[in-house]
Amino acid sequence: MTENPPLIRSIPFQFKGTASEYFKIWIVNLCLTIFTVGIYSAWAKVRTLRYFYGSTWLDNNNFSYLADPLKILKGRIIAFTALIAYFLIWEIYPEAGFWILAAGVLFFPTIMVLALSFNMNNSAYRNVRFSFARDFKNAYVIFIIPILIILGLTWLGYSLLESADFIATLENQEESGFKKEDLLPSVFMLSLLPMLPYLDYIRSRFIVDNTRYGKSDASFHTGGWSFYKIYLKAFLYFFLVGIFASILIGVFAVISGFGEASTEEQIESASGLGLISVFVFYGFSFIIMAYVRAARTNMIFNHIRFGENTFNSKLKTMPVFWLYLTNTLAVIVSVGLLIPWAQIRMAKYVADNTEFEARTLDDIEAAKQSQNGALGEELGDAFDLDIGL
Amino acid sequence: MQLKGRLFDGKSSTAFEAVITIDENGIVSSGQTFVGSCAFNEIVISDQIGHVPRSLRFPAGAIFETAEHEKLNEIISKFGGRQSLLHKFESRTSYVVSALFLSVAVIIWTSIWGIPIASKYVAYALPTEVNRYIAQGTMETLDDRLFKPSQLSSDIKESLTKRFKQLLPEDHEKLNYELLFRDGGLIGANAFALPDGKVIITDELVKLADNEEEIVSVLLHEIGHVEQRHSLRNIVSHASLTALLLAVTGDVNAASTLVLALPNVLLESSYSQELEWEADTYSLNYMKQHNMSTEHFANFIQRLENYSPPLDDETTIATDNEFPVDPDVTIAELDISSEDEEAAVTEKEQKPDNDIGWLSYISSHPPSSERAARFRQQPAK
Repeated sequence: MTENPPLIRSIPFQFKGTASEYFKIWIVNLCLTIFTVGIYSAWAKVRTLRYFYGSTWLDNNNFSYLADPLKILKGRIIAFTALIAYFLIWEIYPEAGFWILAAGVLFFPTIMVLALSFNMNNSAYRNVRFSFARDFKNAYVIFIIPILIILGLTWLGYSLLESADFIATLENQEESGFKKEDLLPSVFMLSLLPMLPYLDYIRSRFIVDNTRYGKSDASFHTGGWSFYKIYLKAFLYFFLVGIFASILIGVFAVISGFGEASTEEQIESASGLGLISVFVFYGFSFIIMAYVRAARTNMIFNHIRFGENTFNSKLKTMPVFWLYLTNTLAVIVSVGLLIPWAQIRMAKYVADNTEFEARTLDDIEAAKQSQNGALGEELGDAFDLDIGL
Repeated sequence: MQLKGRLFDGKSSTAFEAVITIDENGIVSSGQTFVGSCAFNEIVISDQIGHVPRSLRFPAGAIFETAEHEKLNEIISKFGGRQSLLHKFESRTSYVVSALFLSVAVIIWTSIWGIPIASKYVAYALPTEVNRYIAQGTMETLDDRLFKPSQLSSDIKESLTKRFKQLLPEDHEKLNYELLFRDGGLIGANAFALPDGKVIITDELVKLADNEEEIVSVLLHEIGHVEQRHSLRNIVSHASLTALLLAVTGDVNAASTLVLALPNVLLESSYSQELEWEADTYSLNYMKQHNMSTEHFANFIQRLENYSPPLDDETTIATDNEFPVDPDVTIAELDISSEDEEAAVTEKEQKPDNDIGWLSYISSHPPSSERAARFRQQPAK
């Protein structure tokens, strides 16, 4: 990757939304959604996003979300109908399940591109819309090839296992009820897991490379290895935490004489221990989730170039973990009423830790002069869909 | 009147700090040539949402953005134009509080009473063939994964089958009622009902019973499940609950999905307990109508409570049979792995709830002691 041009100035993002203001929007949205049996949800989505985009500021200008709720409603009706049809067919003709799944796979890249394009086209800053190149061909390439690799690995692994002796021995044991087909899901998972960082990489790359703002194209400047590093580290943490937790629980168990537990007290302390280990486990899962969120966001944003300009994303694991933990506790304790507060805090943290780094005056001028995608231009596209992905 | 804000020409991202003036006749002017002057009601104004600046689109294509909401609303009320109704809802405390109470009331009512009632109507409204469709293939899966062929003598089978046929309701031909015997394998003593009328009892259950009347009381409970369309009601209420929770929490982030699991588990268990209670009622009423002793069900349920299926052996040894491992949980897991959890209504009693009280909230069955008590007291219902 070539060196970035010298920095001219760093512009921080700012989030000006407040929890009290958003709470009112949220509760009215919820109420209307319930009383319209979900139909209002499309309008609710637009209002929510308009609030969040409109509260995000960069260089004295805010972003805006311009989607037409009717188009979102249309997308939701289509998705809902397809889902109902899928369940009905699956329930009545289980054999057809496979073919429906195959059809879904065939449509997925198209739907993904349409949804991305819808969201980009409806996002604007300084009166200029973002846009997304509808690269259907590459969407299929990046989607189908990994699937083929995963299926190939699964087939390879399964046929190797099939020929192994111990499988036949296991299967012949009357009591075990073991069937070699039972292994298929595990083999599939083992083939899928090593591919996940790569899938994330090509998907992120696809999204960034096809995004455009005014006359500036976005480009992605890193390889798959950056993703592998993050996921491997998360996996390693998870592994270490698992070992550590089992040792800890083992030690406690021995101390409390769990092995020959018979008195009520010992049983009580044992179930207490079980409960504590569950909480410890969730706590560590949150840390790992926070690590992935922070490291992945930073890595992606710090390798995007908009024309010659770059971003500086500075999320940190522990603050994100703290947000996850306190948000979750707040939502539980408030029976959901603090959901808006939790969302606002997260948006504020992310905005506060992201900067736009202007590196050429030309690009800024070019965007200013851009005639493309100014507000008020009708998109007039019947195929715009917004299906939540 | 004047409004301060930023002006875009509608073609580029260049912004001008600008002031627009609205005179007494509602004519707007800005001093910029590309905006021109026009009547106020020709301008398209975006809805107000919180503090977010609103945009005013002029007929010529120029856009004016302002955050001076109060002044703008005043002008709108004077010269016409749409006032944002939603913003009115969102900005007045009385509306927000009403929305809050209405939402909470509707969510609570729907999840506790609405969904069970609605699923009952839907289940009875659907043709009986649906019950057959959803049971399709379930027996094969269960045989493949869980059961072994029954070892019971044909005498016992014949006698029970005869009793089973006598227990069936008058209009039983709508469904294919059938009594099947299987070795329970890892599950041990248990009884199942499939929505199409197949009732399965395990050899272990037959052996655990002291007399035929106890088995009959269990069969009646299972017939109650079938007659009252419990499988279908389960499916409908499960789907509606998922939809409701999704509507409420919509765009919550990943960490909070964890939070969703709790109300889901609590409500699903409460629905399930309600259905078990109803099946008990069916059994109880039938026995009373036919002057049978209801004691048997109570006796059997309490014996079953102290029984542990083979699958629990490991935990049983380690915990001396008191550790809160609910057999129901085990069965639910098994059912999920056979991907037919909704098609089969399982029947199994849980451990006593006296020393693990909170567990009764996440159990699929009401506490055995309560169930048994009902059959002992024979309340006039």
